[in-house]
Amino acid sequence: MAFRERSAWIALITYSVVFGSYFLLLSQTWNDAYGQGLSIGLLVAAVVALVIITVALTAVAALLSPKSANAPADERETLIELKAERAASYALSTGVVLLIGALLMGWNGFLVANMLLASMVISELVKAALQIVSFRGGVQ
Amino acid sequence: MSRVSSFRERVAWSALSTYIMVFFVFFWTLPQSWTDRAGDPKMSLLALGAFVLIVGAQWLGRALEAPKRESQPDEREQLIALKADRIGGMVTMLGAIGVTATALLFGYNAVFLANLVLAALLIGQIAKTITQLVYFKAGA
Repeated sequence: MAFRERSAWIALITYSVVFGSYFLLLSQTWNDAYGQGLSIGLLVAAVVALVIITVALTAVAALLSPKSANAPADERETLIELKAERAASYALSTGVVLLIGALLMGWNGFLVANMLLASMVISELVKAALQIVSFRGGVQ
Repeated sequence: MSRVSSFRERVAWSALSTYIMVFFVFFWTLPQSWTDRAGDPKMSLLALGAFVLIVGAQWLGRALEAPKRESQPDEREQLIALKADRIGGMVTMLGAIGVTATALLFGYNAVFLANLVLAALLIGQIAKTITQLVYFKAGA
């Protein structure tokens, strides 16, 4: 498996586990305090966990295949990355447009901030999943 | 020696000028219509509708109005579009992170946050269109 495919797997798994846990915990414990923005401590913990896990796993992946990790991306890998980023950008933009509508309809700002975060996470998951599919099946 | 603009370059120019004209007026008049308590959500909804309409019109224009010999983007135009989507996506993502942090830390009212998110989305689209134009002029 190429280093860039491993990186995509790392992103997919890390985002799913860390933010899956974050949103699960948030939905189970949502209360007035969270409705007033007090979920920020939980968010900071999630981001710190994401960074630590990603750095550790990427370092291990780089140690397993040092040549591939240091090589510049070839034309196919660049195209795969660009196409995955395009899909992620469309996913994020769609989420953002829907959330502007939600805010204008009077939804709680802190709830929407968390949903905005969910849109960003979904867009990263879309990017990683598409990269993996393209690495496996070939770029369309 | 001047160079003839391609169809997709002309579409990008028209999109850029439309974004600037429509949203300059919107963001110029917004503070004037803002009261002590909140802004008018109807005006922001109209702006969001205008944004979706402009993006849709660009897409339709490229699909329906392209001259026969330019109906399909060539390899260079595809690469330019992908690279521009990457920049636009990054800018939108940075804006979304900024708005999420602002919302969770300061908890502004919903209409204000909606306008901030709209601004982030708009800046992302403008960055994407400018990137396209730069690449069309300078080469991808």
